[in-house]
Amino acid sequence: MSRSSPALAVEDLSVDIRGVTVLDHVSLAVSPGEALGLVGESGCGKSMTALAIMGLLPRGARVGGGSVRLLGQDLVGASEDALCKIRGGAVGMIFQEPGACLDPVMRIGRQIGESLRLHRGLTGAKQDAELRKLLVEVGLTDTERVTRAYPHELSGGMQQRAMIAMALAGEPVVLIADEPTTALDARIASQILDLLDTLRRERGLALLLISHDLAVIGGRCDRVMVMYAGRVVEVAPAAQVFADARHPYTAALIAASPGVAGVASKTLLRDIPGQLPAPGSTYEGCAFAERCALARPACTRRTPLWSALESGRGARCLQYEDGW
Amino acid sequence: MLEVTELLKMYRARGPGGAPFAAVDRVSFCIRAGETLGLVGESGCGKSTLSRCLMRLVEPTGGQVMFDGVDVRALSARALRAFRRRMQIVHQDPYSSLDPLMRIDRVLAAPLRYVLGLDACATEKRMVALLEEVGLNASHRLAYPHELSGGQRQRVAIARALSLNPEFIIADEPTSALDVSIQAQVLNLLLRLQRDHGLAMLFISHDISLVAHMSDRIAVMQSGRFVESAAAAEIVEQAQHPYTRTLLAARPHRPKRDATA
Repeated sequence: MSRSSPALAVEDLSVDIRGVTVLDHVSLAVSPGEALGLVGESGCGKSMTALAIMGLLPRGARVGGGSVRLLGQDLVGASEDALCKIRGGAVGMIFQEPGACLDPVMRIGRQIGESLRLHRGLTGAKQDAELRKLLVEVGLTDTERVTRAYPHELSGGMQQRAMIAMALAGEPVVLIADEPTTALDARIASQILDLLDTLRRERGLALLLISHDLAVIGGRCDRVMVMYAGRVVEVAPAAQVFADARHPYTAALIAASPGVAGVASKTLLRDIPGQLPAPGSTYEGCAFAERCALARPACTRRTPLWSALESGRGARCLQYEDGW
Repeated sequence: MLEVTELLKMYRARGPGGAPFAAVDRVSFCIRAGETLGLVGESGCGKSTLSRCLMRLVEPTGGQVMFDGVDVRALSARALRAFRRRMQIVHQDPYSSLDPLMRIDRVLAAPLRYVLGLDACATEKRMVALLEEVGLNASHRLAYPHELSGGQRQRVAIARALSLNPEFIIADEPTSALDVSIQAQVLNLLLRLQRDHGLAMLFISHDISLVAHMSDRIAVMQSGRFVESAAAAEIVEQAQHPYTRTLLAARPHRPKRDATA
């Protein structure tokens, strides 16, 4: 794997909300043209990671340590003015509910036009030309109609395309897509993921693709990173993770998906019993231990450390440490 | 158990002089006891309208719905109320299908007391049994919906559906608001309940992998019509209709395994 300098590099980022740790030493790096998938269930810290990168932490949350570097520039502690330029500029972001992110009383053309003016100073005919180019690039080829449309006049898939166009308006180097297809039908979801795939290859975007469903994004990423209870528990090339997951949680997530080849219909799925520990709850050892099929007594006594494995992989599990 | 013939539901497009269109367009199917029919289609194809027509939450425009020999469309309002206990729905979003101000014990006690006429003691006993059957425990009856996770809420919704001992359950996108890990728990629960109670089920989703896993037979719906219906394995392996093939092609694919790995 070529190691070009990453567009986005997060190192040992910790976030707490009123003293409760919600992100614990999270590190990740995405290179230009690379797609990194960030996977885990609700509450594991994946959206918090995205918000922390953008400096959009909710009230009461603060960065306890670590750094977020965008093309080498540290964003932790950057001024609000600087962050405002970066959001929607060098870092584009799209979310789960495009309908909730678009302004319902503003025509699509004006919303995207505003980004073009704000981040690139384009106005008048130049703005119109760029707007049309962007709409075509995201597959909204009926540019006249879309430009004049209000968000509610577009389908969910078209709204998400408009969101992507708006994110592209600032000529981003990093695109963060947080559950971009969860609200969409399977066929439309697949089209949106195809679009993101094309964009990151053609524009050399560093893409951070966040989802609770490894099956949905696994095929669209170079590497996947799995989080559990605020920590990174596994990093692996996407091409290897399905057949050879190293963390029991990753393996359990894969097995819990219906539609895995070889599972007869109407047979019980291998579900993961229990649920994520509540933030702030105290437990000894590994956060996943009580749901883990492989857990041994040591797992509820010792907190697993990060174990670097071969070819850039790694996992946080005691089975890779001595004395398990 | 359930036999539906030429079911039709017409709506008029919005605005004055709006053209009438068929949301459900002469659909026929049957579901036997213990069997699951999977209904797959995209937003707006009419799958939820169809499920509502079966219970007459929406009045069908035409066609016939026979349930265990009863002509559902001919029932009087009073007879319909009594009939509905035999058919229950589990909705998509457990966040909006449970009243946020109603504690779980009230949610579950209401049908037991007012429909089945159980006394306080029997209600309590049955309620605990229901909670345990869906994988919760007695302490959950004292919780409000916001104190439960999405998966737990959906379990409550399933317990509520089961409380009247129905013979037929409609599961309308029951897991689309849930994480993959929790989705598997809820799907397993539905499969177990069906096995234990011999329930007939209509399982509705836009996700063909999900429907294929849960169903004996699958009907593919597009613009109000069934474009194809067959045994689950047959649909997955040898779909005939181009639309079914598009749905199958949109399933998530896994990356090809590295030759070097």
